[in-house]
Amino acid sequence: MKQRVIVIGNGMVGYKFCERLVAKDTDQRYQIITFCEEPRPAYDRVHLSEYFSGKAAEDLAMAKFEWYEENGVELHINEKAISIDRENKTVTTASGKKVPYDKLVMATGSSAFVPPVPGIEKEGVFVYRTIEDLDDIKAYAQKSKTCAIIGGGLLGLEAAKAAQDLGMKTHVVEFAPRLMPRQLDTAAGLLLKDIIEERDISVHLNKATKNIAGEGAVTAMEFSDDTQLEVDMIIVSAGIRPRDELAKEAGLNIGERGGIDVDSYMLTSDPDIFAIGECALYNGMIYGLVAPGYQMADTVSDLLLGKEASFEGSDMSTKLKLIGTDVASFGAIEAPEGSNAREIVINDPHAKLFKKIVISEDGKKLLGGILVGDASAYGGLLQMYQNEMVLPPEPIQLILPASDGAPAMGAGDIPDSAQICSCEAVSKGTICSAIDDGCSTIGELKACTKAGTGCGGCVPLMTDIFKARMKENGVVVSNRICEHFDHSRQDLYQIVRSTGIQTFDELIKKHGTGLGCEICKPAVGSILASTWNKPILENAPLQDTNDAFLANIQQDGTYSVIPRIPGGEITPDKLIVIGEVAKKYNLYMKLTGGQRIDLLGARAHQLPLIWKELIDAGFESGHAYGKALRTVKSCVGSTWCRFGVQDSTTLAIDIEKRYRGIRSPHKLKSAVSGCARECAEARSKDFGIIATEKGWNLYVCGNGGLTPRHADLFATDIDRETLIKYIDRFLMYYIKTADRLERTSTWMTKLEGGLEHLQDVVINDSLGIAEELEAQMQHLINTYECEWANAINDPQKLKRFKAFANSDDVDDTVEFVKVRDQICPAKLNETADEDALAKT
Amino acid sequence: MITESTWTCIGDCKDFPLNLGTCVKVNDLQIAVFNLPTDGKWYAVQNYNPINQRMVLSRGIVGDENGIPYVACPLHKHHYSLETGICLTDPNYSLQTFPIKEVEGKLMLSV
Ligand code: SRM
Ligand SMILES: Cc1cc2nc3c(=O)[nH]c(=O)nc-3n(C[C@H](O)[C@H](O)[C@H](O)COP(=O)(O)OP(=O)(O)OC[C@H]3O[C@@H](n4cnc5c(N)ncnc54)[C@H](O)[C@@H]3O)c2cc1C
Ligand code: SF4
Ligand code: FES
Repeated sequence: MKQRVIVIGNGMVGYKFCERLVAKDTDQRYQIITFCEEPRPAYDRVHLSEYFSGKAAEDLAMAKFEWYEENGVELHINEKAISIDRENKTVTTASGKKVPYDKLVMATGSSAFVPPVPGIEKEGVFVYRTIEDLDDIKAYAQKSKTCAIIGGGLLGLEAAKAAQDLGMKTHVVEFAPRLMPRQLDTAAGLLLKDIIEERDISVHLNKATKNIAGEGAVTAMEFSDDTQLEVDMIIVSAGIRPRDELAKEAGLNIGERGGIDVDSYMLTSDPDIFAIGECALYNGMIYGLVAPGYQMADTVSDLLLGKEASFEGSDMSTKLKLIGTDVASFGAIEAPEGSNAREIVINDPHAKLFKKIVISEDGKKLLGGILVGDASAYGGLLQMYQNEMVLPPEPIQLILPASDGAPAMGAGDIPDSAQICSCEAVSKGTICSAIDDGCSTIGELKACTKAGTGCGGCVPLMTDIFKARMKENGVVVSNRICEHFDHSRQDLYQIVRSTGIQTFDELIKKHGTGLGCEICKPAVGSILASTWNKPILENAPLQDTNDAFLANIQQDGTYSVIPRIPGGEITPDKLIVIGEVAKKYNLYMKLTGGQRIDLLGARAHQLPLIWKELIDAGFESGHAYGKALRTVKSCVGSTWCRFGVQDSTTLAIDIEKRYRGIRSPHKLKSAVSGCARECAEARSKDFGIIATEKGWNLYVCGNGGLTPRHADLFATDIDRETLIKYIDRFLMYYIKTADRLERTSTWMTKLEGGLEHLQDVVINDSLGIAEELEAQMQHLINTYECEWANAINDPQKLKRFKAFANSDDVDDTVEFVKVRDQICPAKLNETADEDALAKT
Repeated sequence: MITESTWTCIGDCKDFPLNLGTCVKVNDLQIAVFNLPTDGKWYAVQNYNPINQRMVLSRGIVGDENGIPYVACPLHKHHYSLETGICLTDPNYSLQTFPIKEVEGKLMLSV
């Protein structure tokens, strides 16, 4: 007869316990029954916020329903356990089931702590813990403009980011005199406050809320210092409260301030009942993190199988990205009182960087640390701390900004026994053997070792180890593009070029399977365009979202129109035309960050009409929708500027015209500045040019965006002809060898040999392909055609822009409101607003 | 041409290009029609994406995932099975699907 284990709570830790026991219980000694109060099986709460950024509930699931079925785990969702009869060893559930157990595991987690402030029960007050909470927040946010978060801890700041992303003006209200009081010291807390306020989230410290005002729904918060804050909505994130109600009622020992008392075997005061995760109180401590919870789950699963195991506490090290900023802390965040330990601190409020390490008096051991602004050193430091490694003679080296290259500690320095993933207790040795046994992607490595599947904090270090090991093993990393092709983008490019294949159908028939998808189709569409340069709508089914309509889709399904304005230079007459067109079609108008003009709010059927007028006035497509050359920004240069040493405007215009329309793995941006003052910001571009007394300096592989990077100096004082030749070769080599959606900077840093290799190929023609690259580029330049001009003259292509194939009606579901005298998309609940414009 | 009373003719098959979605309007309902080179060949689902609440699905790119043909929302890439209407990226959502067939070169839709 199998022994029956009941697990109450199917959260992250409850699930992990099931997973561990199933994996280890090879003799099938146990039958697992688990009760789950929520309407879905366990999901990844750590990444809950990604639910707002587009992850579906299913993507967050820890395991699919089938997993429970296949492994004989009896899962009851929507089923709350309401009492435990310890004498007869049964659990009773809300629906009246009475189920016997031999062993019971409490994994009831915790709930958000809601302080008993008067008015807290009002409509518009939420907590941030479950998927349902997020659904409620999202719905309420639609009618709210401002939101306050009560609590400036780790979860509060995460909630603040989410509230801001939902479009609300966001405030964080913290009782303590600093943010994240548990993880940061005063100086680090202050810096974090600065960073967060810079991102337009207001932070109020030392504030105790004494009342929440409003008739029925929240309208304001009132504080003990008699100030108040008007808000439409509140998210409470003031800490967690262990869910010990069931255990308490069953008479188990409960800590003074809550939590089910356990010993190092995770046993409660009943020898048949364990408690793990956030409901368990070990040594006076509730661990509000997944890693310790997983260790507890591991311990209990071992004990049940008669193995020796115990939980000896865990450290509270954390690394997070909060509101776009790295924050990490581990071990002692301050020198323990009376210890003679030392603190080394780098505090640079200007660069928004704070790094601190606490070291032993003899300077040999790392006791803890804090990183704000740049936590790239975290993985290495944590290894040193956990493995008690001996520090280098100048410990400050460990936290000095890595401007001069090498990180303080590489993957190679870490001993095999070191634990890399603390959530899943995976060592470097285990990771390396999994790679040796055939794991060839980070995804496979995660699936096989489970490392990186908890809080995710170890993934960067794991990736470094992966790369280093693969290289040691002499393996080329597989970069198959998707399930339809067993080839990388680079291979597909070569296949298309060498076979002369002109269509996706032929390519997938000969070299792939299935219908294709939104990964391979646009990639092949781009390759076909970079090779044969036909107007992209000739391959309409391959074009994704924006390319499919030669315009950028907006959140309400309307489109934007950006005509090309080479170098940002425009005559008054042309400017007037743009204004007139915008007026005629009632479009929203704005200057872009790329020195041109965006017209927004066009319905698909209007696009050809608008473009006809623009083209008649001499404009052409600006390819703002394509992975193609965007803009070449310019400054006024020697033509006007008293400092200019070359004619930067003319060069910018010529370059923009030369490369316009060329499709590439990702978008391409450029700029030309007339002197070293760099008004055109050329060093933030994929290729940027800066005038010198003697000619031009070429910089490559810079970008703004998500991971900004300054471009590297590639060639100095070259003349115009050489400059163009180098850029031709550079761009074509990029098109030929980069991965899909890889900007030039990522491409270059991944290239074996990096910048030097690139200089070798482009300047010294080390591969003997320079001539070929130039010829291929010349072909693209010669075959350029404005794709909008092509489209408006082709009735077949124009059909795609009609709202309905079977009627001449226009889509009347789009509505606008007026903001600062221009149209803007109506938010979903705004359509009845008195501001709503007549449908245009 | 109309053989059964519930079927509406929405045009000539040749006006619905292969591997693309096309929007039609029947009794004020926006319906996205897809022409794929699979066995069923024609698919019709609501044009409205219930997740972002926009009328956009006919403008999505089509593909298949483990053999299931789907449309990806052009705004946020939710995948919907064209056969069942179920959202493959979040099964809490699904689309209404409509019977569709070809009769002598005309496309017929039942709403
Ligand atoms: C319109 C504009 C914002 C504005 O109002 O100023 C804009 C709007 C969009 N940007 Fe941008 N970006 C605009 C300048 C920029 C700039 C500034 C610049 O070019 O000098 C940057 C940083 C510089 C850079 O790219 O290195 C920029 C970095 C991004 C990124 C991040 C790229 C990266 O490598 O991290 C994306 C996302 C992407 O491409 O994947 C993006 C994507 C987008 C998209 C295309 C999103 C989309 O797919 O719909 C937005 C299209 C809206 C539309 O319909 O026009 N946009 N975007 C600017 C258009 C410039 C133009 O004239 O074409
Ligand atoms: C937004 C957010 C971000 C976070 N970020 C991080 C992070 O970056 N790093 C980190 O380490 N940790 C993070 N955490 C904390 C982490 O999610 C928790 O430590 C972890 O989920 C605890 O797991 P658990 O199983 O103990 O509790 P839970 O995941 O809360 O699961 C408990 C489950 O038991 C159920 N339950 C309770 N009582 C009963 C009953 N009587 N009958 C049936 N079911 C019951 C509950 O409904 C719940 O589903 C974050 C948490 C949140 C909310
Ligand atoms: S970059 Fe130099 S030349 Fe160009 S505008 Fe600025 S100061 Fe003048
Ligand atoms: S340390 Fe949390 S996932 Fe590896």
